Amino acid sequence: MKNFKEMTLSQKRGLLASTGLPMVALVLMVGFQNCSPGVVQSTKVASTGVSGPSSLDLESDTKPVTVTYSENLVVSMQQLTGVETLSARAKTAATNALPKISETGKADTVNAPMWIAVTNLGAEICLDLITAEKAVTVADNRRFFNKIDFAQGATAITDAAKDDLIRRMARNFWGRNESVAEKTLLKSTLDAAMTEPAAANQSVTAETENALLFTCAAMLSSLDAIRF
Amino acid sequence: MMKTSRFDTRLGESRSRIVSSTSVKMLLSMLSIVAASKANAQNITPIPAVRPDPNGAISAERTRAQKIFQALTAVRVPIDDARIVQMEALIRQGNLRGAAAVASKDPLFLDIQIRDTAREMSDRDETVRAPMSDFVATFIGIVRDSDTTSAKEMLTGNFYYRVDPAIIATLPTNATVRQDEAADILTSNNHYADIVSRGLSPQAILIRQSPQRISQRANNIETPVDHPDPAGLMTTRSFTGAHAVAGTNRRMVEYSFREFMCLPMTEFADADAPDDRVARDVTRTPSGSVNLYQSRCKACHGQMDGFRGAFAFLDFTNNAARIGTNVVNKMNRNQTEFPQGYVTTDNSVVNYATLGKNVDQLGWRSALTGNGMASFGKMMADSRAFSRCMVRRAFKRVCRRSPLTQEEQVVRSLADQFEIDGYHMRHMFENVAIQPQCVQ
Ligand code: HEC
Repeated sequence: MKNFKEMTLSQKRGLLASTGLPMVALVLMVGFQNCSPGVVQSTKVASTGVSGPSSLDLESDTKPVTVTYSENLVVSMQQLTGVETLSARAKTAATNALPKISETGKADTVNAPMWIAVTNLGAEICLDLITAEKAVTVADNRRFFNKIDFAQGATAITDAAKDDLIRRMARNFWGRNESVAEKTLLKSTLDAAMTEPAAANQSVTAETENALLFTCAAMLSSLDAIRF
Repeated sequence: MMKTSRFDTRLGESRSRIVSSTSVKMLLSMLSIVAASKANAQNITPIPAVRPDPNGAISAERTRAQKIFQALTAVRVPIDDARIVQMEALIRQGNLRGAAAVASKDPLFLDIQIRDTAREMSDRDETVRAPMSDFVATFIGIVRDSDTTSAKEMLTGNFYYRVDPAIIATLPTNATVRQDEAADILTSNNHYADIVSRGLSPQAILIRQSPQRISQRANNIETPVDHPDPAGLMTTRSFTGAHAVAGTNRRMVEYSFREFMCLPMTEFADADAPDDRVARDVTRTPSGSVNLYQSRCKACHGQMDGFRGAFAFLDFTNNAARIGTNVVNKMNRNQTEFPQGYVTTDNSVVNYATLGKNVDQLGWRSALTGNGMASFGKMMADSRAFSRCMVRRAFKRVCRRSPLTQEEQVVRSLADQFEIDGYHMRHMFENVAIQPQCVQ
């Protein structure tokens, strides 16, 4: 699997599409068709069949979606991940993202360039998170990757480990547990991505980190993580 | 009192509109703070490393708590964050206000939400991209000090907020906050820009300074003196810099109404208002039509030019607000358009916005005439429109939408409560956030 940075747009798009069921339609519409008037409607379409608590109830559908705006997006992403110190790369991503991030957070100001910028930023902050978590040698003391062996390749990530990290990130980033459908979607997209050929010179353990990055970035930059 | 650690000669700072590179700088500095130190209370809120509880239940109260926290602070925090857990418990006890108070006492409320509320009011663009400034800092200070400060002081206060010199003394010399009164506060925005570039948390470092000051300029020398006509935020450097530079000082009236009464000119224009104050520069026969003047020009200018007297002595030149004892030229310019028009000879104010729909929507409750900015400020602060406007602004920020027409009654009763609470900004924000129609 490739590093997020090296992914093609369509791969990123695939990643974005795996950001959980209620978000899928939104991301595709808001992010790629720039068709914001459809936002409210699309949440209704997307939320059919979601099991478990959904953040998209009818009441909130009556007001247009707004998202975290301007530089507050970085502040929020840091709060959600608990990444206190951003790397130079993440700072650069934040700098680059800022002009593209909506000033008001209103649905009609959210467009494709913003969504790409949010995803890039999310990926960099996730990278910082993974670096920090990896440094915690006692796995039980980690916050997200408690069931991950960073010394092994991605194929060693068990099904239970995937469930665990998806659950932990869903709670912190989305403020709710993931639905069954979301989990299935995230895992199948993750598995598909992992079967792609590795980038040149990439170690097996780097694959593990990339797998985590993939899931983390998808979840952190999804609508449920940045919406009001 | 004012500590001047060094004299900075950068007088020529142009108060141009903020460009995106400045925003980027702001962002970067914000990030570097976080990197700089977490223990230091001067810096932006620490970021707790929240440990998600994979098996914990998420109650409806917990979800509500998170939404209220985000509504009040404009920042999303994890559902298992200790602050959210604390709010959940209070909501369970039926103590919604108590829950909201957890959020409104968090530094993020002042450093993010209130900062952005103020930024939208501070300049012509009315966006959250506006820079940190004396206006924004003073607004944050007033809200932080809500327990002892009525929001009316936004329009009547004889003070401003600045970085506590005692805190500046603890900063490393290569990361200080410039504080020369003339150079960095009165004739430039240096002092306030440094809050951002040094990554300081405004709520932790601001102190109130009285009285307001202004710089007098003679022979290229700037001499700070006490402000002769202070009116809270209206007489900050940034507000006057945005609206009293060039023009005819009518923008000061227009934007005072926009920001503090939430009314654009078109919404309180009234063609029935008297026009004896309309100045000579406004032709009474635009396109040769007296009717056009009567129906359009007069509707705005009749009232606006009556209020404009408040600003008769005010100008903004060489990067600073200036107040003399003489009527500034721009008040009486272009006299030949209509030579019989009103000539400004003093700073008297006449309130003609008292008829028709304005009786209810403005709700004046104190003297309708006076002199200078202080009396105009007091007039507005005492009005119904002011307290409703503060509620509307809070509603828009917290509920992420403007109140609907059918919610006017909600706005009004929140405004009544705000007044009963002594114009307590923080409590008012809490009350807005717990409205059932605000956060679902
Ligand atoms: C909707 C309200 C409104 C109406 C209607 C209106 N004005 Fe004005 N006018 C303003 C405001 C506000 C300013 C100050 C604008 C500024 O300084 O940026 C202003 C400024 C002016 C100025 C001073 C411009 C300058 O800077 O020298 C003149 C002259 C003027 N108006 C004439 C007229 C005439 C003539 C009409 C009718 C055709 C008219 N106005 C209608 C609101 C209005």
